[in-house]
Amino acid sequence: MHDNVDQSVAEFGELEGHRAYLLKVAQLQLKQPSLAEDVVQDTLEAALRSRHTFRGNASRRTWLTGILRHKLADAFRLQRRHAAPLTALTVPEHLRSVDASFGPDGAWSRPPLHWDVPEDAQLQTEFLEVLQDCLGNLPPLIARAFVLREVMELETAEISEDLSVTANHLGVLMYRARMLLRTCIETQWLDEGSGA
Amino acid sequence: MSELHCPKATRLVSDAQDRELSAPERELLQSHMTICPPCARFDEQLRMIRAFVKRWRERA
Repeated sequence: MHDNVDQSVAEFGELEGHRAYLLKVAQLQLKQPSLAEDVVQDTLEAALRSRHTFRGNASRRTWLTGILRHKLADAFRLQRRHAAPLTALTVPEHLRSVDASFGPDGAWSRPPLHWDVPEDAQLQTEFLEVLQDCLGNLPPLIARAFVLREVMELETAEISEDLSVTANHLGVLMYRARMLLRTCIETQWLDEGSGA
Repeated sequence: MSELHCPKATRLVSDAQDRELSAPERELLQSHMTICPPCARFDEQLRMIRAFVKRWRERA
């Protein structure tokens, strides 16, 4: 009996160790901090309840990320029910910068620069901060698509299902995400004068 | 052979991160990138973003 309690406490402690990571991933997709915390709390509680289903052939983090994915999908479904729909198919103002990347002749208006990525650990940390900041600035649906693909490493078919979009539309979302991110990183990084 | 413009080429560069390009797509893109350094640089930047996200994930 005592052993069981000890084991539960140890398992809970191990799950808790992933909270900060899960929260960062959730915050990249949900702008509302308290909602991201709730989703992570739900994820950890669900993980604790179903800990016997963990098989150990994936890492604990991968397993938790899978649970988080479903909790995030639930949260978005709920949000959609109560809020104005995401304008997935229109091109809002802040996305025009993607189209502005090319002139009428199809040539780059501001050709991408070579990124001189620092070797220095401190500057690398700053670069990661720029990346994180730029991720946070992406429009919601595009941020979700990008995070599901690049951070949570889901296959495109799974992402299309989560976002209820076609494969081709997902391709457009990913393209826009990458174009916006690279422009943001280049602008911020060069503005700081570190990468020029 | 049909020509590839930068908007279409960059879309293919992005697609290549998510799916395997067909042989004709690959060929078109390769020949475009040999004559278009900005698009080749775009490809380089996307690979760097992926590598940095991976690093961010490992550190977080």
